[in-house]
Amino acid sequence: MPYKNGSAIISGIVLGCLIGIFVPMASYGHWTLPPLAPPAEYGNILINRTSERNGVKPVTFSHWIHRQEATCRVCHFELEFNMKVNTTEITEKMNKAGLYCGAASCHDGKAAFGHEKPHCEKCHNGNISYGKEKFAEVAARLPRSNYGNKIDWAKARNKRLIIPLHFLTVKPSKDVKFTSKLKLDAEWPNIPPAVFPHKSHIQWLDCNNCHPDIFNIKKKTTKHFEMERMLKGEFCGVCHLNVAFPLQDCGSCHPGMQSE
Amino acid sequence: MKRSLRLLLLLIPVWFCTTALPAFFPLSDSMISSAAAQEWKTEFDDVCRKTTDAMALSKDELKLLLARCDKLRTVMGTLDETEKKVYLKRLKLCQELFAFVLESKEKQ
Repeated sequence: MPYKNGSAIISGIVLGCLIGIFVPMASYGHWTLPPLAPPAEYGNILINRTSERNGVKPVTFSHWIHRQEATCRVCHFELEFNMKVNTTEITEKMNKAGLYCGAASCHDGKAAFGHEKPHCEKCHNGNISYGKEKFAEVAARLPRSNYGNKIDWAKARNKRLIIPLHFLTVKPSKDVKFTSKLKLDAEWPNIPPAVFPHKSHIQWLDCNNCHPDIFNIKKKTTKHFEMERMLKGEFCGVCHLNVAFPLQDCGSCHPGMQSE
Repeated sequence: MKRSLRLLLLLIPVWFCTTALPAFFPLSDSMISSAAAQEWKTEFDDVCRKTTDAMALSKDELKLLLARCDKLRTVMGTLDETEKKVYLKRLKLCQELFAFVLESKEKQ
C-alpha cells in the first residue's frame, strides 16, 4: 500500500512536470495568427459598402498615411467612423456636407484634396497598396519596430517625429489623468501576464473608443477575455489584428515573452 | 425733473435695441436656426469633451452629465437626418462612457 502511494506521487510529479513543460510550449504555437500584410500595406483597408454597386471602385484607406495627420480619436470618435470596415454609412453626399472624410481640416479641399472630379481616383482606386511608393520615405525617418508597418508609431509620437491632431472641434477638457497600468493574468500557465498601459492608449484614443463597448470588464467580468476571442477581432483584436502592432508581437503585451 | 429726463435719455437706447431694431430688422429664420444650432453644438462639445476626464469626475458630476446627455438627445432629435445620424451616435458613445464610469464608481 505505501508502495502504491509512492508510485502515485511520483506519477503525479512526472505528469505535473510534463504539463509544466509542454503546455507553455504548446501555447506559443497554439494560436493561428493571421498572415501579416507587407509593411506598406499593413493597416490598409478597402471600403466597399456600396462603391461597386454604384459603379465606382472601392475606396482605399491607409492607416499609416492618416495616422501621421490625426490620432485614432479624431476619426473613430469625432468623425464617427466605426472600427469595423464597411459598417459606417459613408456617402458622397455626407462627405460633401462636411461629415466623415469631408470634415473641415480633412478632405475639405483646403487642408487636403476635396471631393471634386480630378481627385476621385485618389481614393476610389480599388488598390490596397495605393501610395506604397511613399512608404519607404516615411519609414526611413521614423523609429523602427519588427511588426506591422515596422514603424514604432508610439515612439514616433513621443519623440514628436509625427504630430497628429488629437481633436478637430471636441477638444478634450484637459490632459487625461487616468494612467493606470493593468496587469492581466494569462489564461495559460507559465505565460507571463499581459500589461495594459492606459497612458500610451490615451495618446491615440478617447476613453469611449474602448469603454464600454469593447471593454466592459466590470460588467461582463474577464471570463471571455481570451486570446481566442482576440483573434476573432474582439477585445484587443479590434485594433491589434490589422491596424495597431499585430498579435505576433507577443512581447509588447506580455513582457518576458518572446515575439513570434 | 432733471432726474426723470436723465432716466428717459437712458431708456431710449434700451428701447431702441430691444423693440425698434428687431422691428426694422427682424431676425431671419436661418439666423434663428443657426443660433439654435450653435446652442446645441456648444452644449454637445462641452459634454463630450469631458469623456477624457470621466474617471476623475464625482458621481454627482457624472449624473449631471448623463442628464445633460438626455436633454441634448431630445434637442438633437430635431436635427436634419444627416447630422442626427452622426452626432447622435457620438452622443451615445459619450453617454455610455459616463454611465459605465458611474456604475463602476457605485460598485466600488
